[in-house]
Amino acid sequence: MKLRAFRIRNYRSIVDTGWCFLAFDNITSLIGQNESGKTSVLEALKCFYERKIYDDVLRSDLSYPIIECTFEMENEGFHDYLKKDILPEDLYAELKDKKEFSLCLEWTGSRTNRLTISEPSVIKFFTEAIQKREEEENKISKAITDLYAATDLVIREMEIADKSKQEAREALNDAAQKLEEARKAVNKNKKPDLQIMARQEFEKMKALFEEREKEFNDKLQVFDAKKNLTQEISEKVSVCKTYSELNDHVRQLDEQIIFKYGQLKDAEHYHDLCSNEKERRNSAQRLEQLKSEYQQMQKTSNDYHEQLVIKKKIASLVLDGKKFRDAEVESAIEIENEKRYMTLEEIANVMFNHIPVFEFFEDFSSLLPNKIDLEDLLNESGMVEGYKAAQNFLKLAGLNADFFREKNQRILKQKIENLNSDITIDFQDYWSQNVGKDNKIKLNFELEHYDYTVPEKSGKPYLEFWIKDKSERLYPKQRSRGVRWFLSFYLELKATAKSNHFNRVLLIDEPGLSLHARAQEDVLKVFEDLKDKMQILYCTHSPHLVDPSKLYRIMAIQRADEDDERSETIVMDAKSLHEASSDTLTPIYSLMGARLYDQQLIQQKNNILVEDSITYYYLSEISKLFDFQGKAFFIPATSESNIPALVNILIGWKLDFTALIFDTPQKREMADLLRKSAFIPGEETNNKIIIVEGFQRIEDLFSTIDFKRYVLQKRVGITESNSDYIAGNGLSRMILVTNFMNYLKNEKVSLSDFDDDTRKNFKQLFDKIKKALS
Amino acid sequence: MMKVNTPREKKQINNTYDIKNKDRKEIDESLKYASYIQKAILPSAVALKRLLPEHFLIFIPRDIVSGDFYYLAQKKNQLFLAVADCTGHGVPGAFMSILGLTFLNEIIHHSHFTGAASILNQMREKIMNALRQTGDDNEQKDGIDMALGIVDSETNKLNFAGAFNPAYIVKKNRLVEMQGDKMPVGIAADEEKSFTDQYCELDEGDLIYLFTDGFVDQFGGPKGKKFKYQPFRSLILSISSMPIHQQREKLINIFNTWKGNLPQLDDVLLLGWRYHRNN
Repeated sequence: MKLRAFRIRNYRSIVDTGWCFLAFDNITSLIGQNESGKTSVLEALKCFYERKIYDDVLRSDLSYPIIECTFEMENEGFHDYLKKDILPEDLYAELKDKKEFSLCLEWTGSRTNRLTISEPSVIKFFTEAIQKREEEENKISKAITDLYAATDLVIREMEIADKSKQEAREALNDAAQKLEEARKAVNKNKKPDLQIMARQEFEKMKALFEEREKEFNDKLQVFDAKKNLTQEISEKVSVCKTYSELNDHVRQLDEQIIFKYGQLKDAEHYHDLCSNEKERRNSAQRLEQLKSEYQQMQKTSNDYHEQLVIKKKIASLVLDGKKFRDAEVESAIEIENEKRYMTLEEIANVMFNHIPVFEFFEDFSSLLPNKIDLEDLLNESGMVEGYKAAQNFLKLAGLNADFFREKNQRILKQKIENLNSDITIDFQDYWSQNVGKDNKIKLNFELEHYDYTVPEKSGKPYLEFWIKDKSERLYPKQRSRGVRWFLSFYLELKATAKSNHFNRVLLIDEPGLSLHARAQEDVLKVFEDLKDKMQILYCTHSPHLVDPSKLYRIMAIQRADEDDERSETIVMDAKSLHEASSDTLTPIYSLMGARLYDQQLIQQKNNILVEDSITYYYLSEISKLFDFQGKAFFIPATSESNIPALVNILIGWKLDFTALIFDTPQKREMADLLRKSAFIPGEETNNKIIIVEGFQRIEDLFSTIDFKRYVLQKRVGITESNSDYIAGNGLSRMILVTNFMNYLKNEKVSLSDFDDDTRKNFKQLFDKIKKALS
Repeated sequence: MMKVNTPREKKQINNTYDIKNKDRKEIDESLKYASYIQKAILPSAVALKRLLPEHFLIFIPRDIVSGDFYYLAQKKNQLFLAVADCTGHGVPGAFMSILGLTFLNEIIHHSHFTGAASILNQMREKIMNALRQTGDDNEQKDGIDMALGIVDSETNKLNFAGAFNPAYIVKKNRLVEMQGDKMPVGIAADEEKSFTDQYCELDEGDLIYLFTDGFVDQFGGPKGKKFKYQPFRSLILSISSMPIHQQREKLINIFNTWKGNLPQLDDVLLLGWRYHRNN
């Protein structure tokens, strides 16, 4: 996986870098004046990887940093990192073949941040999921309000129904009493006429009673219905209320966790700053306590979150009309069967775990010691002087504890001698400086044992290091700081490259400040050697640490207002170098000598870069015939392979140009490389590169007849392209163009003397150039 | 006084005749076989019929093998037809014709060209290259006279280029002559110049005639003179309204009548084709 681009916002002097693309060949250099913000870019990337910032990076408006990085997957894909069943099927299908993704780390407080994956399909999915969740929550909270209102109404109705029921009951009782009295009257009156009357009265009362009884039953039924409804609503209210209260509680808990996380990060920060053992001990204790509290809270929170999901589900089902008991069972089954998908943050974290390791090298201060005890090295006693450099040395030599367990001293010494030779040869490949005329330095280490002069260590092994040349054998400390720095740098980087983790981004701040110009160029050699194993991003203002033929590797860093050091930092990648100030581009100018266009050798505009001087001569002569003179300025490269270098130079000098490239597979490859390296991806490059399609060299633009007459000046049958004929017969192109120019001059040839094919070919070429320049 | 051969001498003479007759016979057989090969590499009658449904071809080699050849090919909507006359006749001409046919076929099927003139230009380069012609006074000036037409069935246009040889188009009883450039396909005295592309729109029923100079250069008639171009043009115009097979018979009759008892001077080749538009 490779880091492809980054975007930094709100970091120290940086407001927004925009998306900055790293060089495709893994070496990117940040150039700019002091205080321009170069180191801030490297540190911001380091912060991204470490996921922590310090207070001093905050801008005056206290806006928190947002750092985004885009990664390119080469041989791998999402499917290698994300399991199928932890993502929804649609989302997984969309993601699995993607080759690029961006991670966005956004600080929400000075110690807290949120990592997300800025992949549109993922964001869409989670936005929709959040919307759905919010809709559910809104539904429940709205339901609660509605239910409260409904409860009041229903209770009122139930009260009314109750009252009606009471009244009906009283009326029924009254009717019953009257019916009883009527029944008694029937029994009491023996006289037939009175009995008839009493019986009539009884029947009347009986009918009244039945009527009252029916009324009562109706009222009772209404009351029961209202009662049931009230109960049902109360149940719903109760379920929703339980969910709502739990939701509030979980939110509070989440806030407490965030607060606790902040405390924890503060404590970690404080712990890092502790200068003595006592402080470290105390802070470690506090750190442990906070960690434990934080973990406990997280555990509780997780439990609550689980409960919350259940409660929400029950509430939702109850609101849909299910009975509480049924809803409880159903929700339990649904949750049991529901797949647990990853969250946005979880996906981001999984991908984050696979990004390259970002290593920040501020200095290479661990210089190789004169000697170091083997015991310290094997016990990893990091505090011992020169430990890191010595450890790197061993790593580079491929040595471990087993190596020194060799009992046979003669074999051990021979092995050491062989290793010394290997390391020296490798080192000399990079360190081109000689001591004296041609005296190369050599690296040596030896295994020695303390003697009686050091009684406390007597007999213990130690490693002794030497930097030798023909005449001297000196300890590292006796050598110049430059040599020692380079050696330390060489060891560190080579050892890093040798470690198991293949994906690395080295962020190197001002390498080789103390080195001689030539040694600075050696630093570049080390980078070149490592670039297939890791990506290197370094900042410099040394011209010797910039390869003039590879300006696409450069990012220019400068202040928006160059006279104001407090103004924001802006970053310009290779494609927009022409917008950088002259001061920013000083390293490039230093490399390229004088300002070319000041000398009028090359014009500011309308420069046409051609592949060689022969092409230049033909075009210069023919352009006169086409009355094209002065409309374009042809600049010859010494061969087509030098066109990229010239392109870089012209970009560096902010000169407008178009490269004219004839059509061979190699040249097409070169044009593709130029498009990739010198121009913005997707930018219209038609005006920047003209490929003369179907013609391998300029001579092929002549018809065979005109080629024979004006160039070859010989009658012969030519059955191949003119350029193939020249190459096949070992003819000198330079002599031919000279003959051509002389012929044109002596014979006063005009355009109409050429045949249709030649005229058509050159016309098409000049039309293309005109179009490119317009 | 006539010398009388002795019997021994007579026998020797007879033997010599026998040997010569035997050699002659062998040579004739070889030539006959060569003529089969030459015929095999020329477009077949079936191909001619398929690509030129209404056409006639008169091909009368002077010897067993011929220095004249004709060519026919189709590439997408373009039809290429050519008649050519190589320097010399008989065996040397036949060799040149094979060279010419091969080059023509190679260019049409495997090279990039812009038109008929471009094909002739490329063919000339190939011939100069093959015969190592550089314009030196002492070298052989062998070459090919040729008429080459490309008929585009989509645009109904004829693109013609000629090396000495012309093309006649008869349109509505009017003969249009497309003249060839005055240079051969091969080295010439003057420096090479590009052949010229000429174009002619073809209408339904137009007749296209391509031919070598064998007919017009044939001595004969009452005064034993060449037939010449002017009478040939009149002849073509006069027969153009006839059905195509009758035109052939008529032309052969006239040629034979003209030649009479005089020997045939050169190979005779003539291709006539009535054009029918696709749309």
